[in-house]
Parts: sequence; structure tokens; C-alpha cells
Amino acid sequence: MVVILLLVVLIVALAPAVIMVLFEPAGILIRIIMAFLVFSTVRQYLGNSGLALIVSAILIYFIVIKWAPVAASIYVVVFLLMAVNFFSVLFWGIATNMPKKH
Amino acid sequence: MLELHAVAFLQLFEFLSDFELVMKIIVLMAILNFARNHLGNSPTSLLVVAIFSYFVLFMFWPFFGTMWLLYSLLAMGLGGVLVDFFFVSQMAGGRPDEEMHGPHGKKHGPHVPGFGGGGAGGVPGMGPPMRPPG
Repeated sequence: MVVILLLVVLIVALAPAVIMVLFEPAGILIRIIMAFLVFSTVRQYLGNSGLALIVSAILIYFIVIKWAPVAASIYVVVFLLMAVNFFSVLFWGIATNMPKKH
Repeated sequence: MLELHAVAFLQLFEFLSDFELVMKIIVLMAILNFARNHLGNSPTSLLVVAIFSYFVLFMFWPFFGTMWLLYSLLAMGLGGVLVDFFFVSQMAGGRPDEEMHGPHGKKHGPHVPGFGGGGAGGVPGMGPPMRPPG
């Protein structure tokens, strides 16, 4: 049971990275979304200033350019799926569809 | 093969060091925001930022970094995921077993008198009836 759940979580977590590698347009779209997310987050913290641009550039280099597949996986799992309690639904659905224990 | 492992290991370390740098930048921004919200754009706020940054980012970073990561993940709902994983998933078995209940939900397995289901004197679901000793 636990192994099945871990496998499902692993598949869901790896899906964005695999999609990014296999379909280039999807990769570009996710990179643009992450760049906007980083820039808006930094602007919330630092306001409209030159420092915000510099910090955004550093973060965008690491998150959007260097480690894009990993960051996309983290972004999708943590910010999108966990925010809407997707894993609760997933675990509940899998657990209730398993055969009874004896 | 060994080289491949070494390269993967080095890449992991590179990712971890980059991730740590990103975390430090975000924590520094949080400190800046906190000081500016409370003190405004003043030399005092810069002094507070410097002191906070020294303690949080350099002196006790392993502690504060771990706490910040845990706090962020819990705020995102990791607690709910862990509860679902360890508790809800243990209640597996919502689907009735085909062998026991058949296609129409009627039990057709071996029937044991007295064990639930209304055997002689038995109460459904309460096991066999008590018998006097001897």
C-alpha cells in the first residue's frame, strides 16, 4: 500500500520534469510562468527598485535556467497540487479503491 | 559506471549548494521586508537587517535554514499530506472484496453458524453465543 502511494507520488512529482524535457513548448511555458512568479515575489518583498531586478535576475538564473526541470517539479507539486489538497484526494481515492485487508 | 555515479553525486551537491544559496537570498529578502515594514527606510532598519542577517544567515544558518524550510513546507500543507499518507491510507479497503461478497454484494463464502449473520442464537456481528460450562 505504502509502496503504491510512494510510486504514485513519485510519478506525479516527476511528470512536470518529464513533460518539460519531452515537449519543448510546455517547457518554455513553464519557464515563463516561473520567471513571472519569481519576479512578482521579489517585487512584493523589495518593491520597484534596482535591487529587485538584481535579485530577480539571480533567482531566475538558478530557478528558471539552471535547474528548470527540478524547479518546475517543485513548483507544480508544492505550489499548485499541495495548495488545492490534490494529494489528499489522491490518497483517499487509492486507499478506498484497494481491496479489503484480511 | 563509477564515473557516472561520481558525476550524479557531484550534480546533487551542486544542486544542494545552489538551493541553499536561493534559500539564503529568500530569507534575506524576508528579513529586509520585516525590518522595512516595522521601521521604514531608516538607518535603524539597516542596522536591524545587518544584525538579523549575521545571526540568521551566517552564525546559525543550519538551524534557521531547517526551520524556515520546515515552516514553508508546513505552511504549504505538508502536514495534511503526511496525515493523509500515514492515517487515511491505512484505512484501505473501501472497495468490497469480490471473493467475499460476489457481484451482487451477497456473501457466498463458507457459512459458520453463530459467527455473525444470524446463526442459532447468535447476534449479527457479535460472534458465537455463550454456552454454559460443562
